[in-house]
Amino acid sequence: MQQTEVFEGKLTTRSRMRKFGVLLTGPGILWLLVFLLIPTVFLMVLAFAQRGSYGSIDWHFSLLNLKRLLGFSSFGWSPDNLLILWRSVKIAAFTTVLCIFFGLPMAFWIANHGKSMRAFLFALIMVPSCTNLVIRTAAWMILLGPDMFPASIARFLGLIAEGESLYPGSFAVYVGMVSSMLPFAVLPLYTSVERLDWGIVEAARDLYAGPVRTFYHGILSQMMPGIVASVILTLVPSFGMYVISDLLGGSKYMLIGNLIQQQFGSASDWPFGAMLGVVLILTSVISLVIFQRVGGKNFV
Amino acid sequence: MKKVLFALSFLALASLFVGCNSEKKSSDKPSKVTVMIYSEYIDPAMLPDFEAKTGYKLQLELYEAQEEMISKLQTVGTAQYDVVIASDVVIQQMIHLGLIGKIDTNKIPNRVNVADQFRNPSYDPTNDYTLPYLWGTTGILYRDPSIDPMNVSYSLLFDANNTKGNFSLLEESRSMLSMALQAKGFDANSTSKKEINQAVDYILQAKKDPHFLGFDGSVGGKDKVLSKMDWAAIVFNGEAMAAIDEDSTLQFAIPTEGSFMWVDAMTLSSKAPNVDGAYAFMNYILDAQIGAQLAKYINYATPNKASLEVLDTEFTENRVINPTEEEIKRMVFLKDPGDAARLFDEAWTIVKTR
Repeated sequence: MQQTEVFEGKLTTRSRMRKFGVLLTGPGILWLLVFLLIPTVFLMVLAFAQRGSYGSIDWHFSLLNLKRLLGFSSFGWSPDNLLILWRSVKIAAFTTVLCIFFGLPMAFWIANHGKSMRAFLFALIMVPSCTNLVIRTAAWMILLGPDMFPASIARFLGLIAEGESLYPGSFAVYVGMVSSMLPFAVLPLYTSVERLDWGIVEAARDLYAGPVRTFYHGILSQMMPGIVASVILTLVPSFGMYVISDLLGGSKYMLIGNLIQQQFGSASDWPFGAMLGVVLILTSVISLVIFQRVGGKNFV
Repeated sequence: MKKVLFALSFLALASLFVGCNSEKKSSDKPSKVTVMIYSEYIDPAMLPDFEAKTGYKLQLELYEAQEEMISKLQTVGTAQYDVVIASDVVIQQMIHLGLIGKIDTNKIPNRVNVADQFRNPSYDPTNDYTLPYLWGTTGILYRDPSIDPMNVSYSLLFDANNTKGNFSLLEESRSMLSMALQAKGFDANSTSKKEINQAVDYILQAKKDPHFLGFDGSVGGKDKVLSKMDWAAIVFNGEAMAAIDEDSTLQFAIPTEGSFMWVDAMTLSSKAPNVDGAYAFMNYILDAQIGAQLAKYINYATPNKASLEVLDTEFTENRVINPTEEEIKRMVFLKDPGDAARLFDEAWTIVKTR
């Protein structure tokens, strides 16, 4: 006879609890296995295969794709792939910083409204995300065109010459990136603003802390979990994003997303595409770990 | 437990019935022809007409890009489709991957209507796998009526002293590189590392020009020229025609150094469930009247010489759709680069990085 235990006020046995646990976690584990683990492992195996003739897959394993990634191409060594990776990291990081910069005041501003107004403001932020990304980006293309008012204002201020438009260019790319990522940054920031313990701010003021110190120790430290969440939610998707830079940047330069798309598309080199995909995953994970180590330590 | 068993056995029984059903269906004479085709690439009026003439229902499966079509055939399987419309560049790849099979041309009486220049083409030298559907050219669309379109060089875009305004290049690795190869005086189908390298440098030089607005697809380039953001762009002739219809100050030129023409061909899926229906469709398209109707509706040139006699002179003498003999001589078909595909891919990565 098994030893009986008490769980949630009921008598039960260990084996029954174990069975119950398996039943509860089973679907989740199955989900991770089917949709995360198996595809990722397949991707990693594929990354070391070769492109056969006419785009088939040749299952001979080697490190050639890795060498190619590091810049050893048919045209001699040139670090183009690494440059592409660096450019993608740069754009993703800058987009994230901009999103937090604009998202913080927005979160406070929304939190300062009454309940019904808050819901309305949230709807204003979220509703655009219901539209397809390509359509939203195309809307920016029209809005930033040569005959529209943003271009006229910029022309009046002497920022652009006569007949020019605000796109394609990096300004337009960041406008597109920030506008599509901002909702994901604001949401977690808002939740942590709502949970703020204003007593700490009061205490800091009582102890003669200046406004900067009060913000740093009293508010920012409390909001760190929210900031970490919004960094993850903006950094990871913007890292693989390439539609916006193609449409608003004139697709003059490639990003890692373009390069992967090219491998699975016109180049039909799936193994090299898989290698790039693995690198994309690794870079996201590494940058998140670095962020947690460097950014999180001072506060938590 | 009993209930579960009961449910399972019921399911098994049900699947048995479903199995029987589908088997019965496939033994019948197939009633439909499934054609895999670019979206908006057929006159919708032809669907009821084809059914009335042949008794087969015409079912269209649409795709947007060649790669999408190939991966669909690889994953969904070739048994789902009868006819596949494919571009000349991917024909060799599709033959090697076993996606398309040989056509018994004796079953297609209208094959005699195919114009001579589309017989035994470089993408299908033995003429076993393809019959042409429509064809077109690639050139420069620009806004300057004073420049004679018969005498336009690539330097209009690539030479900073010659460009008169903003321009876009074509966002398609193989096509753009082949045009740069021709601009440098090389063969468009060259797989020489040295020559491709020079083509890359040529594009990179144009990229440094402040007038360079970026890489665009044919439709995107056309839109930018129409909205006056661009002064010139590289587009297909169908897009050029649509743009000139809207704005008659625009011109379309096949550059003197050469460019490439392309054919969209009808191919037979390797496991086509309805081979006779597929032949009926090919024969239908190659009919003189139908070929003319198709060309007029889509605004591309027809490879059907019998249709050319049916079409009005306004259409056949339109130089944008039907280039002159001299212009045709400048153009080539692009070949599948085979294992040199990686060379083009790496070259394009360099073009898009620097």
